Amino acid sequence: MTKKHKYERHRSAFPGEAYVHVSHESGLEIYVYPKKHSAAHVLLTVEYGAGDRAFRPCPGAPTVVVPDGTAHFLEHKMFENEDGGDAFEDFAALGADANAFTSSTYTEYCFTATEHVYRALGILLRMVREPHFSEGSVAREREIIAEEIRMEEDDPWQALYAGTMRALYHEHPLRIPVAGTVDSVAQIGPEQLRACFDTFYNLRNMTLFVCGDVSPSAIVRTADRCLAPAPPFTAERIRPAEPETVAARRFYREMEVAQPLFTIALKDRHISPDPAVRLRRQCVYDILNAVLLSSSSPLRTALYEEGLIGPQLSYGFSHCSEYSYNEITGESDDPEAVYTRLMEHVGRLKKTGIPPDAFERCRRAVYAASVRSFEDTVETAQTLADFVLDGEEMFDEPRAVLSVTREELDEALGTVFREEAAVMGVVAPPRR
Amino acid sequence: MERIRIAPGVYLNRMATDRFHSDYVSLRFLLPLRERDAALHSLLPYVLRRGCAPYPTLAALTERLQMLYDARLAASASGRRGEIQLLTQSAWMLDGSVAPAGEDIFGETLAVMRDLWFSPLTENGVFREDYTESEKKTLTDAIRSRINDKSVYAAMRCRRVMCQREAYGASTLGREEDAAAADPAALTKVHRRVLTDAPCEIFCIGRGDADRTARLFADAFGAWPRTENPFPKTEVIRSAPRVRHVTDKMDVRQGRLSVGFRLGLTEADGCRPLLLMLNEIYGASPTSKLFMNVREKLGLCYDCSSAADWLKGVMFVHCGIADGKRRAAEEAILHQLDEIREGRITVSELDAARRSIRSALRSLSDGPDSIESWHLGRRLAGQETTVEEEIERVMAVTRGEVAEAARRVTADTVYFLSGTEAGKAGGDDEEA
Repeated sequence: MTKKHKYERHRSAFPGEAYVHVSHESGLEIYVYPKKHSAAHVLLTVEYGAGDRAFRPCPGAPTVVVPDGTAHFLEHKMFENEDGGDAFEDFAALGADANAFTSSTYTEYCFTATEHVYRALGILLRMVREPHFSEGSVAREREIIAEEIRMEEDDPWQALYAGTMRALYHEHPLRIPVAGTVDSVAQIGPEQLRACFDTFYNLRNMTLFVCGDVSPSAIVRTADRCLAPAPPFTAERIRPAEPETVAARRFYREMEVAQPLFTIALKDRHISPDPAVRLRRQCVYDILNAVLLSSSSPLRTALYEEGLIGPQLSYGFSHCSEYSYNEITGESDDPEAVYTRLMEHVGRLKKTGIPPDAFERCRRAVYAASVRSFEDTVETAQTLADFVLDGEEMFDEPRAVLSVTREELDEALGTVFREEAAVMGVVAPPRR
Repeated sequence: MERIRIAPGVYLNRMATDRFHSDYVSLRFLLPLRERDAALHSLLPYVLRRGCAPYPTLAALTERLQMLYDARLAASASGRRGEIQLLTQSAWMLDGSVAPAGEDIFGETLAVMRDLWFSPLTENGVFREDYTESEKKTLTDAIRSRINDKSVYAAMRCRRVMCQREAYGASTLGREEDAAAADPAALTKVHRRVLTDAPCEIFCIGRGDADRTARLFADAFGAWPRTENPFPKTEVIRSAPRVRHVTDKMDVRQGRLSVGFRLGLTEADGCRPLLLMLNEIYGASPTSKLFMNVREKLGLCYDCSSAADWLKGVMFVHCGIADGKRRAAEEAILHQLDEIREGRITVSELDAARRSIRSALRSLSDGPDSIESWHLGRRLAGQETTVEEEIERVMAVTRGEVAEAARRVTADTVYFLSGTEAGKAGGDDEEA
């Protein structure tokens, strides 16, 4: 019997790079990106993350509020089988290497396999639909997660990120540590996990991505075999409104580090509901960041030569429908001086405009990065997921980069690099 | 992978593949790992990157590379295999086939890479004083920053304590005092010695023209009086006379436990497949004994895994635990090794390990860096094995062989990075 699924082909400008989107009748959205590599990467996302701390299972139902870290806890427990065994072992028996992650907005389950991809997919599709947790196994998991939290709390980069997000946002879920705290995790029991599972683990709230030497029709046949149409997805997420201002100008903490670590973050208010507009804005800021901060920039050169920053400086524009900020992270004995110099440099560029040669070089660099994102199956699947979950088309990116103009960068300089939008987080060695 | 000699002690390893949209070329200089030399080895690529004759500043070099679609030239001396320090210069660039105007990115990037190493910027025959001084600070910061990541720090301390009388105990970054003492003359000498004496393996993987690579580097090395030297040797200690316990204290939330073992066998003994199996069953995967028991059954930690150096014949287990669980964790880690020694390995454990390794070996072909890493590893161990042969040998390893290999393993060092709370309670450990 042929089932009625909707197929849609997406082609890139590069030979051989294409994927298929299938709206499966079960409600699951499926994306298959054939690539002749040995290892296939499969990932399944559930649009349920650490940010979903309050929700109504269906319209009119009472609001459910869960302790911080529940989504991540549930991710851990989904690997438990009916007999108390572990799904990791089922994947391993097929030679597949499984893993899972939770972010602020979604939970991801994934595996990499060089054989038995379809059978391993069957395990994955079963696993996310059948939770098994007992009081005892949940109690044991609490201990494991507490150690995970302590490990993260000892990581100064993690502390820097968390503190910077708390400075940037008043209410947004990026403030919340994904794994929760040792105290919040202590309040999580089987009933909360069950409530979250029942609300969010619906095929209509999930997306499957496969990249590897696979056939789209065989992937769909596996889904046909494993999945029945899901009931309507009715959950309502309750997200607090986020003011446009920053919550605090500075975050400072002392930890065992050799040299102060800093992040300068700039809150961006301009989030378009149109995915194509967001994609373009992402390209503009990627180029702008390279002009301002890559190793060829006069600012970076000066800061490095004066010993104000080390050779490593990372920067990026995080822009999606849920949040938007620009971020610069590095190590410096004097982070405040770095901040001042950055703003002065931006001030000068606002007057002179972006130099044409720097613009061309940096546009090429960002173009290369967009082509590199489909070099291996893990990265391709992940990139595709990031684009799809935000409603964007990954193959539009290289073209969009090449069409960005210098005038767009000039305009962008003024909208994000503002004193009142900026926060700085610092993790510094203890003053002894 | 074809290997041809292009100069005394310089070999080009070439593999043509159209699997990637990028090309990869690397120079791998093989240096003996020595405590007193490590800092200068690490400093060299930092200073080379600051300027060469055609591109006298880092900004000029970066400008050039950005025009070449962000060709990535990366250099570092942080790689290590046994007691060999790998000084690596790699170039990873978009292939001309995906460049908007079909530019010759490959040839142009190789020329830059050659200039960096063979036409450095000098004054009075030595490296520039200002660049050297500035990069000494960069290196010193990097040496000090190792404390930032507690798991890396604990692993490094464990290795140092265990191998304090072997070259292996050295850190590839070197010592702070050696970084401070470095000067342009000493660095220039090291640069000459690398170009004249150090065995060099060049890798060229992708669509790029390997003949062109061969000609370019044959000419470049041809201008130097090369000596063909054997690869540096690695001292192997087959067993530990007793277990040494060492504890350091630091202000951290989570203790880090590292246990170092002597394997008794090495890759040079032709035992890599067997050791891969032992490591996999013991602690290298989420279905390993350490993960399933120390984490899942006992809930002692979040991470607990093993990793080995086949050339040196050592293995380390690392985990993060609450301070009070140190003894329990150590006992559990050693107990799981005893289980293997006594042959208590289930059919599914054995099978999962074989499949996992087979999958990892098959996946090697998915990235130029993993292809390179495999061939370099075999070359250093003097083993002529293909991936397919390795898979066959892994699949043939029996439970009895793994148990016998485990019986040769001796625990050498138990290192604990303790939180300050435990420090107050008083230590029960002897100090090295």
